[in-house]
Amino acid sequence: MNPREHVLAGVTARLEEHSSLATRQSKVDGRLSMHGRNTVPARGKKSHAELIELFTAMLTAVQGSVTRVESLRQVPPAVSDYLELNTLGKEVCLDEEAEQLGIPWETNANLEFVAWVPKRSISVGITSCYGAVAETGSLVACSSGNHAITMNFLAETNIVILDSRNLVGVYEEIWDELRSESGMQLPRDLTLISGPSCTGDIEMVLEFGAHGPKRLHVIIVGDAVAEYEPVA
Amino acid sequence: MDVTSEKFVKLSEKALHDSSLQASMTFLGMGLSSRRKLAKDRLEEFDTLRDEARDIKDHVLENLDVYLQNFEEQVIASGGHVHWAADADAARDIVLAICQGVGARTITKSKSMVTEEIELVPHLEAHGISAVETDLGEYIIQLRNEKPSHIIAPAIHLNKDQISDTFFEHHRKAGFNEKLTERSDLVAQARQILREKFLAADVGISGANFLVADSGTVVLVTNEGNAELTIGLPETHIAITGIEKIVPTFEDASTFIRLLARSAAGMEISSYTSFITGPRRTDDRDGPSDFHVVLVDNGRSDMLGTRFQDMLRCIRCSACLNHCPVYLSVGGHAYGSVYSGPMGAVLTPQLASIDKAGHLPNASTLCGRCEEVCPVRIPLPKLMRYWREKEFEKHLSAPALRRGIMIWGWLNRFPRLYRVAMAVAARSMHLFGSTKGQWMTKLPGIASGWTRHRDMKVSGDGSFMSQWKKRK
Repeated sequence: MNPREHVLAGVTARLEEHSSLATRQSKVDGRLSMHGRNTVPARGKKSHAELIELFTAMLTAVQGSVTRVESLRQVPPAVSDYLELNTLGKEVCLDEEAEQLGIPWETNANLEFVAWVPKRSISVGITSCYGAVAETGSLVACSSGNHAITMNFLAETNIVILDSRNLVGVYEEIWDELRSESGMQLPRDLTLISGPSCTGDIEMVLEFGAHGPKRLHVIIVGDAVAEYEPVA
Repeated sequence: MDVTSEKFVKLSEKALHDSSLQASMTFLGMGLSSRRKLAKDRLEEFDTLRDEARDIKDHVLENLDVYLQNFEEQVIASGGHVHWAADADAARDIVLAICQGVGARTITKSKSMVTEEIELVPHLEAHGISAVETDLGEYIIQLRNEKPSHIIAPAIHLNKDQISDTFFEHHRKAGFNEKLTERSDLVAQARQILREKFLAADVGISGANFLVADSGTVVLVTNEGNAELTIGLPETHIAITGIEKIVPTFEDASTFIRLLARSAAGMEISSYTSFITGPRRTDDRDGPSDFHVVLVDNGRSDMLGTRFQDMLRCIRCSACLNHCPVYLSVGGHAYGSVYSGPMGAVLTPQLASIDKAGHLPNASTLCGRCEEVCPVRIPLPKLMRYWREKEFEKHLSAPALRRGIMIWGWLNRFPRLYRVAMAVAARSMHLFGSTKGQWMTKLPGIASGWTRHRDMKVSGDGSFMSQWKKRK
């Protein structure tokens, strides 16, 4: 018996006493074909405006920061304001996915763009994202042909641009979007980013910037915003 | 699994007199349990999710062979490889062979209890491969050549000064000549050193918090972001985990994600929750080109269909440790096993043997706090009692204890005699009391062991039965 057969035979032997293989197979097939939802937190069922508030409250509670702008045109000044308020210099690395959003970066002469080199640390990384989930203030980052997901982890400061239309209430809404008739269309890496990197490994006190970004800043684009306010 | 649980009594005694450890334990006990309570109260559906999580795991365990094959099929379909390991030796050899196959010299590793269980790192190091733990707590204990004292906070037994000394000793050769006093500086120094390791590693090894059968996805949860750097940068990613980690779908994984960080640390969710499906795609900008999953049995299938099956629901959140009066008194190292606290007291006898780990299920007051907080409702006190029974059946417990239990058992068969004996015992308790007569401080003979470390309240009103009659 090869190791695979050995392990599986051991498991099967224990289960055989209670049910037949056919029963087990049909139970599993049933569950997998349904991908039914379990209880979903009520806090995720809210108006869009309330979801934005919930997302913001959740993320800021864990030292992330959020700012809102009405249009893509306002993103460059929002980025420079953030960098200036936090004295982070002018150098930024722009991800391809974020580049494709059509943000008029040229309107802001304050930023200096550096090219992304794989497997190298960067100071400020600007990325786009697949979407976000309000229930826990989580961004959904996906690896792809135009997004190097390691940028989200290698940058000392990660600025993420979120289209407000892509914000949903609960995780299940994201899974539904990714699902098609042929199953889930999953990227190699889908990461829920729910705050800057942190650790409590020394005396249980939370310190930020363990291995990933020390700062996580989200710029939500879209929806009527009363007035843009720079956030540090 | 190498255990030293037979030394539990001796190590506990030492732990109780270790003032620095006691300070850490007080910190832990106060911190995490109140944080968990707050997080639970913020989510009204919390207890419903616990019921559902229990049911999902039961369903998976009852159909585990089919689920494992489904998971395997999906990993292969997404371009990955699946390896099966019946025991620790096999698991270690599989990982070593993959590392040697790609000519790996250095590897990075994110936190994984299974790799602790199978003692993977010493095996790799013995074969000339440098393996660096990247979770900060794991990194600290790796430098100190210690084992984890807690399943999610491995260096919880250490204070800042001890960690500072360790860094000073080990980082000097890398040019860090200053002794640090601030926590933030210690974190920053580890970040700087480990960043270089991440960028240079040939292979990244992780565990898995969950395996999604439907899509062949490995789910990893961290706060530090170390798992993401461990698995995203090298050309090869090996995820090594137990066969019980399966969940059917992403919907089911969501339920567990809602429970895990709240139960563990009172957080709404960990900073990073990564869903890894297969290796780098053809046009992807980053990611490893090789993706391996090693499924480890190592005694788990033996628990299926037995009264210990419930233990296979465990998601390693540590809530039972954080709420256990025994764990919080003696810390993790006293258990002599990488799995400590109530979950360790149930799992260690299974993975090592009851002969070696008999002390662990006995070192419990069966107060029930662990079961109260378990996100998957494992009846931990009941399982510890099962181990006590097994130990008794195997004649492993101390002769004096066995004699005592047998006398008590015999007495129990004669209710009248039992009542007389109890009434006499209750009245004579004060003879062993202190001057105030409230507490028994020194019992004679074999019972002296009991009062060596604790006092017992003297019953002022006779036996339970006589009090019961009066109140009725």
